[in-house]
Amino acid sequence: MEKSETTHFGYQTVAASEKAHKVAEVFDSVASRYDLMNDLMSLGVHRLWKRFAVSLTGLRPGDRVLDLAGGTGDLTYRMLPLVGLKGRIVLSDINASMLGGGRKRLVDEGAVGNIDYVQADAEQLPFSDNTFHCITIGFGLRNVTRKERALEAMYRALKPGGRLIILEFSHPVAPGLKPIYDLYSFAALPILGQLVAHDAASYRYLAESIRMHPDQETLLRMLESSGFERCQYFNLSGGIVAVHRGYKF
Amino acid sequence: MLMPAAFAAGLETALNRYLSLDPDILPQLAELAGTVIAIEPEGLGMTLYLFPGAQGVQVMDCYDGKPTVRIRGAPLALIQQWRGQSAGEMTVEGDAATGQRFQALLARLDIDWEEHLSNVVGDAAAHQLGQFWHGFRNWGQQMSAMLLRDGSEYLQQELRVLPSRPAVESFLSAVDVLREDTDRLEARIVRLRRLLTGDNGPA
Repeated sequence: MEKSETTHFGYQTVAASEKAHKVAEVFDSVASRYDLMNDLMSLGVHRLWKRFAVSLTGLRPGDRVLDLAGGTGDLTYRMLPLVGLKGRIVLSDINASMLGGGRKRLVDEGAVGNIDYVQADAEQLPFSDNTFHCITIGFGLRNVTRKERALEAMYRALKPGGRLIILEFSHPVAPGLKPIYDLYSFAALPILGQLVAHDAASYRYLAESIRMHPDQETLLRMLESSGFERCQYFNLSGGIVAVHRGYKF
Repeated sequence: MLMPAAFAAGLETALNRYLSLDPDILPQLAELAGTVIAIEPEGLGMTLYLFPGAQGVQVMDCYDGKPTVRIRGAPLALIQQWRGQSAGEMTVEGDAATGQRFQALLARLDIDWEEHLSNVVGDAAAHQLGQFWHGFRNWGQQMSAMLLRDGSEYLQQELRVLPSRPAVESFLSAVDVLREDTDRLEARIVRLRRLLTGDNGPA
């Protein structure tokens, strides 16, 4: 009998077909308090991580960008002035609650006209080959079931010369940071999640999913295997977060 | 690695909070949407890019496109320019009109502090504090003008270590006249030398 494909959902092993559904439940649950929780969890530093990621995009006026797993639109909002009025950004997320929140927030900010909203699965991007100058995915790749397939889809959708920017939690490299970070993630984070978002389980999943995500070097090799060139990564806050960048030539 | 981003983020927050105190400023900023103003304070080793828009100003520490205008100068000169005061030496590249429009917006920012204060302490107390502040500011301005006037009189008339303004202006005019006379004399000497040597020089 053929064994069904499995993957991890935090520390659990689940059928690959189930992961997207379970991740969707997590984000449906936290969508309304997502921004507030990000600020509380990172003490506001997530805004600097996002700024740094945007600084690596090398965007110019008129560029077309795909902001995958764009959630509440933080990266899109930062990139809009860089592409200018002639550029275009597609804000995409697999989760309707998150995408709706992002759309509402951006409209409230007055960011309209050159943004499209697309609910899409990163593994099966509904865009033509060679469409975008840049693709960003911020804190989203670890929730994707088949990361290699998603990276290949991003490679396909990028124009030659285009670049992929992955902003994601990673593995601490600063001496002495790991025990403190583990304590914070597994003890404080679920309590914070319960108090603010009334959902400890989702934030426990967050901590577990970060541990199960490939470390900096592994993700770098995955990028290279998917065809990206001149790949490199930048550790931020002692490696708690890393930004990977790869080019399609 | 995050320091420039942190600096830009802090400046953006402070600038937008300041701008939000004047309800009339945002529609005027919206007219500048699509422009990019690069500010390059000398000695800091970084450039700040300002993106005005309908919701305020975004500040970034990087931009790979060409800014609409680039303003370079000493940090103090840039601050003075922003406040609408005469500034030191600055370099402006690109569309200077955009830079001037943005600077004029910031300089004529009209913040009704009394109104904002009244939300915290109430109308009566805010009015009293406003009156006190206006009185204190007028007194300060009068005092500084008086000190400046008395100080210059003491240095010019009592100690006689500084010349008076009319004397300086007269001296500078005389220097200008002398410079122009020597320029004319030099031109005459060159012409005479050519006549004597028979060299007519370039046509």
